[in-house]
Amino acid sequence: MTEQRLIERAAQGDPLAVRTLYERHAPRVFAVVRRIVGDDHRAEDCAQEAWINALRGLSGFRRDARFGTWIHRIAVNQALQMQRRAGTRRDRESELSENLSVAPTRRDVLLEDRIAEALDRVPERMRQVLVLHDVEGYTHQEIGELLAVSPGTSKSQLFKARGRMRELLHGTITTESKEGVEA
Amino acid sequence: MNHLSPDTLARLVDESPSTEERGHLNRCRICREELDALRTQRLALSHLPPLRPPAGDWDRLEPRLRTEGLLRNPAGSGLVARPWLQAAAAILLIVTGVGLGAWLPFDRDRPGGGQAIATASSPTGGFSGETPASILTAMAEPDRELTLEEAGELVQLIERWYLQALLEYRERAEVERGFAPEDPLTRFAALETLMAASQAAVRELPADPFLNGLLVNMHAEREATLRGIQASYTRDWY
Repeated sequence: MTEQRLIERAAQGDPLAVRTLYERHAPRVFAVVRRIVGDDHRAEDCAQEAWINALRGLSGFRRDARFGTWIHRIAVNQALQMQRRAGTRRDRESELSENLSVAPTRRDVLLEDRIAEALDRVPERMRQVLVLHDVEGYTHQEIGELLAVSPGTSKSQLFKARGRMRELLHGTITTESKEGVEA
Repeated sequence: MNHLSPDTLARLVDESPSTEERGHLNRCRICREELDALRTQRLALSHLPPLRPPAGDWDRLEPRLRTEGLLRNPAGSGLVARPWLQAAAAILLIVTGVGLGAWLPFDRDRPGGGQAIATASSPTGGFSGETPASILTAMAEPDRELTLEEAGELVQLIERWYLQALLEYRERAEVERGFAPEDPLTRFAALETLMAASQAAVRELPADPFLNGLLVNMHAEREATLRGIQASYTRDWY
């Protein structure tokens, strides 16, 4: 079934069509909200809200747009809204736990674990910009619109976030790690 | 020597250096390595994989979607209005039944019977939130395509439903009637349905030996049942 037909059926409340859309896009939706909000439970709530909002608005979805891009944007907005509402700036400056190896490694999974853990410890605003720019590929113009800041502020936050990540990942990422990342 | 600032290095990850900055990078191994590490970090971030939601996420989301009216309830899904779909369901049941017949624990005292029932009564497939009617209705779409994984999952789920329904039926028949019904007319009607289904299946795959064999057997069984009914009527008539 084509994605367009699937969306039409999902807009009519077809359970299998909705489930199929969910199976296709849930991992990317969950990934972006998890990385922005930095917490599993809040990310799950946030992803669910994103799905509910997306399905509510499905009848207005432009048929020439890509559903994946559309729900991704809804999820990002939902995650940013949730953080604004919560107004929490939890202290994420604590050091990385000791239970992971600090030695440089070429294994992707370990590197991903380290990066995920470090991301959770980057201050909230910096993390939002870092995730949107370096992970999700948004431009500074787009990030500025999402966060209601200037593109210059977005850039400044990004540079600080990269520096903070570098500190947190010190010893994990070296020039030797590049081969592992590209593998 | 003064090194480039962390912000400058972070900027140079995706911007070109000025002449002055380039000159410094050429001379300073520490800044060069730091910039390389930042570029590797950027690359690693861009390669982070999608994340599966926690287990049970859909099970929590589905009731919320129903409450919001964003999911149709499975009841009245139009299954009855699609005779050919009933036939498709029937063929699915018999094909499944052929496989299950080899191990179905009709004898309660048979070792392992209880285990088979327990397994069948706990479907855990990814379609577990759906009902047989809603899945079959959705599959009636002519351009519906399942992945191999989805199709396999669906077959497993329908097998479990079939087995559960069969076990339930047997329980009730034993309790309420004392034995399984042997009404030849009911059997003939059931065989008629299966004949239609097997004929449709053979039209779809004319060269499939299993489907052809099924159709031939079905035809023979139907004829034998019909002869039995006619003989019974003849005896009764006189």
